[in-house]
Amino acid sequence: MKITRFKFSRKIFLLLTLAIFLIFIFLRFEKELIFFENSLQKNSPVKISEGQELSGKFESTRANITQVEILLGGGKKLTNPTAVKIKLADENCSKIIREGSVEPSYLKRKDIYEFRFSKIADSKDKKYCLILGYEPQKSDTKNLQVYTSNNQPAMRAVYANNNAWQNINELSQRISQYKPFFLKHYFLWVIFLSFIFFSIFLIIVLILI
Amino acid sequence: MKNFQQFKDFCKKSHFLLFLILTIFFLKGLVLLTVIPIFNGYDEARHYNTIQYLAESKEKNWPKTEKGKTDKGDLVQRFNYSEEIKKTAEKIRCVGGEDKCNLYENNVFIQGFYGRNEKEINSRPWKQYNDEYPVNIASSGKSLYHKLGAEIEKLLSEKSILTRFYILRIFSVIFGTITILIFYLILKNIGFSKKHSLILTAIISFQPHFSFYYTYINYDCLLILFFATFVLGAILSLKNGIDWKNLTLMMASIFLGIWVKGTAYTLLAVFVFLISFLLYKKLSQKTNVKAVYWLYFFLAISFFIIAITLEKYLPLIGNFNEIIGSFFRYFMKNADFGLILLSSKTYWGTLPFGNWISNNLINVIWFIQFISIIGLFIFIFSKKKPEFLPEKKYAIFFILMILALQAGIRLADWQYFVLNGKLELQTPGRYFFPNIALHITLVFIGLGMISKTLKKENCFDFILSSGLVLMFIFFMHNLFNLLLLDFYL
Repeated sequence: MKITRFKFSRKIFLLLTLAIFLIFIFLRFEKELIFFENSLQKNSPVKISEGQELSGKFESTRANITQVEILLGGGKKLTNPTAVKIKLADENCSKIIREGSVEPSYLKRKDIYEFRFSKIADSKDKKYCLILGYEPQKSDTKNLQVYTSNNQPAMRAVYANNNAWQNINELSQRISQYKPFFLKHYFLWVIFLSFIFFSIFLIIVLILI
Repeated sequence: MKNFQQFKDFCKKSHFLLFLILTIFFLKGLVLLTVIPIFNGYDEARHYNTIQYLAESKEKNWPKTEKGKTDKGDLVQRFNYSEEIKKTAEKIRCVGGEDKCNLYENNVFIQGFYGRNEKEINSRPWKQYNDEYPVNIASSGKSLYHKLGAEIEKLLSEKSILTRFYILRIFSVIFGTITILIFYLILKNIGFSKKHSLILTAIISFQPHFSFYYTYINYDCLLILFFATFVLGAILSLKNGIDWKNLTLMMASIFLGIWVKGTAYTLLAVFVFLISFLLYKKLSQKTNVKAVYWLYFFLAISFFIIAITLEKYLPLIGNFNEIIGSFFRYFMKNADFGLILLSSKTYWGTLPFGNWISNNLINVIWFIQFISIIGLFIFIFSKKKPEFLPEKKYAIFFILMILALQAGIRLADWQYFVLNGKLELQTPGRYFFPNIALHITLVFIGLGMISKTLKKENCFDFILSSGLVLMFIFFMHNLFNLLLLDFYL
């Protein structure tokens, strides 16, 4: 009897592990469900040293701006990205709306760094000013290299939607593009959802039998 | 209540579970082939161009231009491919290499389910044949995989390139699904219980990179299938002795495998050893000659046959000293921890470098494999085996298969090094996929043996189920936290 209970608890442990990790994966995925609109143009880099600031203006084409991606580093990953301080200001570069430091984007590799902030709901058709500053620590390099495009930092805005459903729908639109009809839209939904449902069902059954 | 009990009983049936595993593998393939944009598989544009080239009319009475390879443009624009392939890649602007779809110059997405240039692509305005020579094709267009692909391409020639391309990818998934079925048959026949065979098959089917690989247009999809059928024939021979069915299965796998890709020559070498071993066992029991003499005799015969058959594929150029020198130079070039790490990383998934999760996942895998190797040693050298594990002869055969493929790939790499003076083929993890089922099975045999050695109670069920949960989580992490973000966000 004891052995039966012991075996049962092992199965519960596995099911809990599965559930926890899946929740973690889907939460992380949901957090990353944000959408860039424009391409990044990469031209020659400029250097800014401690105390200097570099600013650039851009227009937000959509509501809910939540991130700006910037090309930094001149081909190298920054050893200490938090040394790069960023401010998002109004179009006159006077009133600071959001501020923080960058984080490396390991997914998009190369030299892209992300400045993530709480979304601004009424950002559509508004102009913003991005101000970059460098506050190196002793171990950091003296200068920060920033790629430029049209004489301002190479950057692009990234947007969220109003809710998770809209995010998923926009992602399904992106995946559907340049695919034959049998892999688009509703077909895509059926394929994705049946894969997730049957996979989890299979694993639960294989654990429990 | 009665209905629920019936449902529970039905779910436990091995045929149902096997069907479910195969269905999920197929659905997973559809998910991945949709997520991974066109021409983003390994050399996918080249393999598709080979299929298009073979599907062209035999006359080829159109004007041709001579054009060399250029360094300009992305991985498609640099080479001599059909106008349709190049223009499609240009219009979608989402071709692999370092700068994937969401980076830099690319701006591929608009609102809606149809891409900006999709209508133009679907109207088929470009030449579906090669007019730039020399045409860039794989294996001189002689591979069985490309010939089969060309038949599908001909059948669908009036359809858009998107339809043709993705249907060819679906065929890769179908080959993969059959391969998974063969893996199950192998596991069941070597002595695992039905339940353990099903869990192991599911674990193998969720290996992330293996899953991605079976969604590309690439001849390895068919090669891995023939490796699997060969192994099935071989283990049936070890189990029941050689009969015409096993022999036919093995010989057909070797013949078709070589027709697909030269890597299958390693099967020929294993086949010679296997036949020699089976003959040795038979003759050593029936004659008065000492068994060890028969062993030496058959080993010598095996090496002789392999050396004669595969001579042109061996990097044996120059005298003995020169061969040793070239081997030493090749070995030193490869004695690089970064290269070993690269092989391992590319075996397990599309893991980005410099990321904490990815790096530590590999460390965890290496730790598990290290523990498993200890278990394998105990398994092979112990007198008694646990009842839930297969017989030793199968594990030894699996190790032989792994060594043979390793040797084959390293010899090809060494030969390239000798002829070109540089390492270029290298040894990415995907080259070792033909033995993936055997590798994962050996890992779990080792872990099973360790568990039996350390505990009296059998916890092999728990080890296998844990492996399944971890592999599934690993796959889901690759899909939802890496792949989708890499291409679309």
